[in-house]
Amino acid sequence: MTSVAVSVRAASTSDAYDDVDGPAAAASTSSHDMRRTVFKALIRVGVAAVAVMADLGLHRVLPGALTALAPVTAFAFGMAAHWLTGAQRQGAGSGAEPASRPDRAAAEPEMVGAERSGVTLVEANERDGRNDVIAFPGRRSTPEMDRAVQELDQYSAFTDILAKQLKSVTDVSEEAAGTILSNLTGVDEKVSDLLTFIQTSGSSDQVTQVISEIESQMQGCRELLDRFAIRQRDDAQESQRQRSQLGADTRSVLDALDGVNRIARQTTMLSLNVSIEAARAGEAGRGFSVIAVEIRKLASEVQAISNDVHSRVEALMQSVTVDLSLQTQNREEAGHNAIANIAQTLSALTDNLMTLVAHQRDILQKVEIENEAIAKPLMDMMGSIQFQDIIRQQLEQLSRMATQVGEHLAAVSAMLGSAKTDMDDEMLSDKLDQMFNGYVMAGQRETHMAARGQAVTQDTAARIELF
Amino acid sequence: MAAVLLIEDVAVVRTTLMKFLERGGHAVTVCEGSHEAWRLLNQQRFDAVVTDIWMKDGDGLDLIGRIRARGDTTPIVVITGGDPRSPQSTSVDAAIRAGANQALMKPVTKTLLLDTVTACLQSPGKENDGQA
Repeated sequence: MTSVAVSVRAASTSDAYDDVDGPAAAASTSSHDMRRTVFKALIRVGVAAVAVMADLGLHRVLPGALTALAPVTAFAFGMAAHWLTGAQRQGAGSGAEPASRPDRAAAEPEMVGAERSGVTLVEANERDGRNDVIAFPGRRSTPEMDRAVQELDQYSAFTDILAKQLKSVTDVSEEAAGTILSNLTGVDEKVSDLLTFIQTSGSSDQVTQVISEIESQMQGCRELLDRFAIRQRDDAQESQRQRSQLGADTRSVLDALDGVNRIARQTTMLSLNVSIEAARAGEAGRGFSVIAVEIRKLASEVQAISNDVHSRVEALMQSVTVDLSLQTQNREEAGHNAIANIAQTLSALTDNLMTLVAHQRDILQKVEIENEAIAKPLMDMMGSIQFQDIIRQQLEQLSRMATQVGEHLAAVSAMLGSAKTDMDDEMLSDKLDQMFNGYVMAGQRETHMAARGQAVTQDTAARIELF
Repeated sequence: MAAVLLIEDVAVVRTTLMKFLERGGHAVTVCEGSHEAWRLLNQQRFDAVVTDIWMKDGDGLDLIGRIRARGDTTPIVVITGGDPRSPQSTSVDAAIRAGANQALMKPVTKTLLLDTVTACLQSPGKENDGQA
C-alpha cells in the first residue's frame, strides 16, 4: 500500500482537511462524520457478514478458516474505524476527546498549510524532517491509517485461503458422499437382487403352480389306486367265476360217478336174476350161476370204487372252493386296506406339502416385506446424499461472499488512499441484501435474517418456499 | 419402461437419480453435461429427459431451448438446486419458461421423481412457448 502514499498532489478541494475555515470547514466536518458513520456501519455489517457465514454452516465444516477469518475481518474493519477516531485524536493534539475542526487546524498548521499550499505531505515531511505522519495523496495520513490500509490489503490473502479451503471441503465432502453412495448402491443392489429372486421364485403364481402340480400328482395317484381297485374287483369276479366253473365241472364228474354207481347196482340186480334163472335150469345152469356170481362181485367192486371216487371228488371240491373263496376274500381285503392306506398316506402327504408351501410362502412374504422395508430407507439415504450438492453450492456461495467482502475491503482501502470520499463500489449493506436475494434455500434466508437480528415469520418462510 | 436421458454433472447426484429412475423400471442413459446430451439426443430417441440446469459445461436452459426449437416435444423434467446467482424459484421459473414440463428442486425423492416422470410421459408434449 505504500505506493499510493507518494508523489501525488492533493488536488481535491472537497477533501475534509484542505480548508478549515468558512463553509468549506463545515463541509469537511460533514464529510468526516459521514465517513465515520459509514465505517461504523461497515464494522457492524462486517461482523454481521461473518456471523451469517458462520451460521450458514461454515463453522461446521471449516472451523479453522472461520476462526481465522472472523478476527481478521473484525480487525480490518476495526482498524478502519480506529483510523477515524485516531485521526480525530491526533488532530486534537492529545487525549481521547476528538478535536473540533478549527482546533485541529490550529494544532496542525503544517499539514493544513502544506495541503492548502498544494504541497504533498511527503514533500512537507521531507521539508520539515518529520517522519511521524505518512502522507497519502490528497489526504491527511497517520500511522494508524496506513496500518488500516495495510491490514485491509491483507484481507484478500485470507479470502483466497478461505476460497481454497472451501474448495477442499467441497472436494472432501464429494469424495465422502461418493463413497457412501457407492456402499449404499452395493447394498441396494443386493437387496434388489434378493427381492427380484423372491418375487420370481416365491410369487403367488409360482406357489399356485407348485400346488397345482402337487394336486395333479395326487390326482394321478388316486386314479392309479382306483384302477388298482377295479382290477382287484375284476380279479375277484374272475376268481368267483372260476370257482363256479370248477363246481360245475366237479358236479359233472360226480354225476358221472352216480351213473357208474347206478349201472353197478343194476348189474348186481341183473346178476342176481341170472343166478335165479341158472338155479332153475339145474345142472345146465351151473356155469351161468358161477358167471353171475363173478359179475355181481365186479359190480359191487365198481360201486365201491365209484362211491369212493365220489366221496373224494366231493371232498376235493369243497376244499378247493373254500380255499379259493378264502384267498379271494383275503386278497380283496388286503387290496382294500392297501388302497385305503395309500389314499390316507397321500392325503397326509398332500396336507404336509400344502403346509410346507404355505409356510414357505409366509417366509418369502416376510422376507419380501422386510426387504422392501430396507429398500425404502436405502433409497431415502441415497436421496439424502444430494446434500453434498447442496453443501457444495452453499460453500461456493460462501466463497463468493468472502470474495465480495474482500473486494469491498479493497475498495475501502483504495478509498482511504485516495482523495475520494465516496467509493465506486456498493455499500456493504447493499451486498448483504444481494447476498440475501441470492440464497437458493429458505433455510439460508432464515439464517441470514436471524443472524442480522431480524424476525423470521411464517409469512416470510411461506413466501420463500412457494413460487 | 421408458428410455430416459439423465443429464447431471455432479457424480453423486447423477448416480442417485439414475438409481431412482432404474428402480422405476426405466432404461437410463446418463451424461455429465449439455454438450454430450445434445450429441446423444441427435443419435437416438429418448422418451424423456431429466436434466440439471446449472452445469459446468453449459446452461441446461440453452439445451432445453435447443430441444424445443427443433420441435422436439420429448418430456423434460428439470431438477435444480438453484444457482448461487439466483434463487431456486427463479431457476424453476426459468426452466418452465424455457420449455421444461416440470421442474423439481433438490433434493428430490425417488417417489417424487418417478411420479413426475410418469406424469410427464402420460401428458402431451410441450412446445416451446417462445418466452425462453
